[in-house]
Amino acid sequence: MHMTRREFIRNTAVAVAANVAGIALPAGATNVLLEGDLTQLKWSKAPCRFCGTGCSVNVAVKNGQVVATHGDQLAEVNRGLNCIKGYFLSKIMYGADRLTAPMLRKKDGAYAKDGEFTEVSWDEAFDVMAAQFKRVLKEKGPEAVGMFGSGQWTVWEGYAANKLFKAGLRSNNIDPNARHCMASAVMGFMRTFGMDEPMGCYDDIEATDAFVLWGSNMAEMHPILWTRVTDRRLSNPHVKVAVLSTFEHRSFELADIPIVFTPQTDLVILNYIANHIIQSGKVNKDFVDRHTTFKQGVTDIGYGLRPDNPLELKARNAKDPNAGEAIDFARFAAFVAPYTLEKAVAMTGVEKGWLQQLAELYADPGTKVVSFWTMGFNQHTRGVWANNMVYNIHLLTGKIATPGNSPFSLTGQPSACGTAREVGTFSHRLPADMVVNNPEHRRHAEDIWAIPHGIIQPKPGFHAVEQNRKLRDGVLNAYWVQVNNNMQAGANLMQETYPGYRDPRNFIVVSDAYPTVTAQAADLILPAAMWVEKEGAYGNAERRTQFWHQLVKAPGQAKSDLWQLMEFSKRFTTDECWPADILAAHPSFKGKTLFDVLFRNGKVDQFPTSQIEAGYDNDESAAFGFYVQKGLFEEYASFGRGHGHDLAPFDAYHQARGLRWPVVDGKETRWRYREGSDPYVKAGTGFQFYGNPDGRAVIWALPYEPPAEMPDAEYDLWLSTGRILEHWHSGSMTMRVPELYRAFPEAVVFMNPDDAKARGFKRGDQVKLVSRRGEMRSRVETRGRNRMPRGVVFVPWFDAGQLINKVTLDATDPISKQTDYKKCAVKVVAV
Amino acid sequence: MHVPPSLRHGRDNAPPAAKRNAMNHEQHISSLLVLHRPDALSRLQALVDTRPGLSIATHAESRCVVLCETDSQRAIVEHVEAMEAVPGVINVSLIYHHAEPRDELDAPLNPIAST
Repeated sequence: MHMTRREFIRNTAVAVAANVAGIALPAGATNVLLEGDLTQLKWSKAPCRFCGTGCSVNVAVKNGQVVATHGDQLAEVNRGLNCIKGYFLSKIMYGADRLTAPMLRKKDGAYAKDGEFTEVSWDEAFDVMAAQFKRVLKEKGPEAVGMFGSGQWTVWEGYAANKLFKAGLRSNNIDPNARHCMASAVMGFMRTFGMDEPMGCYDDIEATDAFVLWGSNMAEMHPILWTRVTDRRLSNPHVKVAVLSTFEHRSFELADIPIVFTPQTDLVILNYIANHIIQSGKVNKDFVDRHTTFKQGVTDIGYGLRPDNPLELKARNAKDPNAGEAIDFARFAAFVAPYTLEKAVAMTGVEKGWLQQLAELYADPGTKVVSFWTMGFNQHTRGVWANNMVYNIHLLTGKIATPGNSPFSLTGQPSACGTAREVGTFSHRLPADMVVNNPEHRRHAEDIWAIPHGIIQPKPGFHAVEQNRKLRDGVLNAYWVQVNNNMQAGANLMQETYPGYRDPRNFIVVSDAYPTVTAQAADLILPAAMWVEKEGAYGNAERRTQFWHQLVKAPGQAKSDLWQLMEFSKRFTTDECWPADILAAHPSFKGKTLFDVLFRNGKVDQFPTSQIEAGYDNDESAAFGFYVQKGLFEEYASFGRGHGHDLAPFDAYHQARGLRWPVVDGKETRWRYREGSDPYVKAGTGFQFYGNPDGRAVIWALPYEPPAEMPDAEYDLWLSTGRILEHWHSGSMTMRVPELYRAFPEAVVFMNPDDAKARGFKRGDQVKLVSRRGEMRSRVETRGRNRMPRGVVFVPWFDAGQLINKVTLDATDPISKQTDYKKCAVKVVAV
Repeated sequence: MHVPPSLRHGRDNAPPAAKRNAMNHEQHISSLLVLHRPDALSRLQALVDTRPGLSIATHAESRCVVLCETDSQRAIVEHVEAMEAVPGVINVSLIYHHAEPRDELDAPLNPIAST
């Protein structure tokens, strides 16, 4: 049979899609031969660079360049599907303005804060940077140096950074941008279960009867998971989908129960559902008696603003917002009793029938429920509470840790879980859920790191928002930012972020692949290798750890963050960084470089480069002379093995399409805390929430409290911010893909047509958004994908030309320190 | 307060890559999986009929495979957006993508085995 290449490729395209969709093939499309045979492309697997879903993509390399990608049919997560960002993934590395050499601000041949960016060698860059860090260490000590990292760091990059700062430089001022997106979820898990990350997994999607989206626009933010949800709903007519938000977005197209509520009143709905479950006699008493305890949290906890802010001075429990006292079921029932249907209707503005239907999904013992949430819960001044409260309703009904019953916190970054959370790159954390203020945890970490006891500082460092405030105040003076765009992402840009970066007392280093606004506000820019330009590991939202190989070379002099961290550590000695008394007691550490004691420690350097899989480059290992990633991973894995965080041996991950921890005896765990599916649960117990010493999960009595700022006569609109499908976060990668850029080139302010009309605006008009903190220009959009209720406007935050964070408020959840980007008061006026 | 040009005029600062036209004569062949409510198939078919380069290759009750042939990647995105705007269409995913010069596509392929 003869055919043209065109016919052949058409057939292949259709056949692959039909296979993915589970549809029978049409006649004539059955000749399938995959690419490799004809085109001499080398295909390898890699997890997608973007969101926290963790899709696996096949990446084709030809002549040292990535030329094509397609969804990996062998991957359980995405099953051959790819979203629009993943589809054009191969292009993110080839933007025309890619950074390829270190750039230092110089004047008259030397570093100057007010100098112009000038290309320098790595040696000069690190010489100046080390001199600045040493100056600050000497003048003020380790509390004046810090780092801001990312949920886009690979596992070993985050681990090396954590070690360099907490053990090497003895500074706990290291925090990831995951603080902006996941901190409330983390604290929610810790307070309820004593252990981070979801008990269930994506398999719950195909096993459930109902989905409830709490502040999550999955259709745009997690499109591949949304495809699985859609498929489940459309193939099984009994399945219900409830979508809750403060405005109508694309996910509402699938909603059986659409709910648009007044901002902040999600707390009311959650307590109403708990009350409904109790009042209607649907509490799973056996589960509650055997597996839960009750606590009442302190209230009036403030808004995580600066301590001298009047709102903080007024708050009774701003100093210890995490406290609570033990109560019993009767007191919990009495606590939620005032949250009646009538009260919920009055406060939320939602029709009675929808609230009842929603509550009944949870209450009905015959309906399995998956709850999904992302930033609507987490970026919330009561975000930890919201997380605790959704667990409450799953625990009261025992709808947890079984297939199809799953409260599931989705993540926004590819390794918010795998790196930021599991490696513990937060200012208060160590790997495997340990914390710096626990002396036993510090000793354990020091033992694994083979460093003397007493090196790790006991006091938590500055968290993300606090870092910006301390830069602004001149308290934090030497600062390194890797893989994130915090100038654009951090709230309250004009008052806090920008002045801190440009303060002459401070030296700011930014490692990135592109000249983001953050890089441009720095003193030294270090060019970074990205994605498949290095060997990597990410951990997705369902505890799945995935690896990839280096497939291509980074351009010019760009180097991975891992190389940068390790190479920089060579410029410091223990004598410069560690206390003299500790060194006197442990003389073998004297005179060593931080590289020697952190990375040449007999553990990290124990695997030879010969163990790297044939056919793949590994530039870091070539530079340092040992298999860097394997050594770091195996040392890191020793924190969690035997403690419920077990990771498989390193090499297993290069073969598998990821494995969900704990991986015990080569087997991954899909549902934690349940007997039979989690090896850590003892026989005969049924369930064990073993993160807590008593094996029980905590049901928290927590009320509704108002947000930090609400619309008033002058600033009369709620402002919410977020993402859209085509762009990912601040757009520093997606804005470089022409197709994505043109699909949604400029941010707009989504507004209700009546609100626009009342102010005399038409669609497309230039306007100013003004808050008490700053203003930005934008254009009015009254149609399109987001339909706003009256009184609420929405602005996406990917556009560096329209920085919405000049306007937002840096109010945070007082427990998690995560910023609430979803609620502040603004007015919209004519330009 | 002094604000650097990069923060004031971000649009001028837009990545050059985003402004460049893709100068090539490639043809793009891709397949898309469309999930939709069962009653949306006729509306989707009507849209596809008005757009040269799109065809429904195969379908089941609530999903169909759309074959898409275009001169640019941008056109693929436009087709996706148009299909997403059809009432009852829930989701459009991209499955397979191939691009190469037009004349090479019309070359005969060596005989291959039928499977």
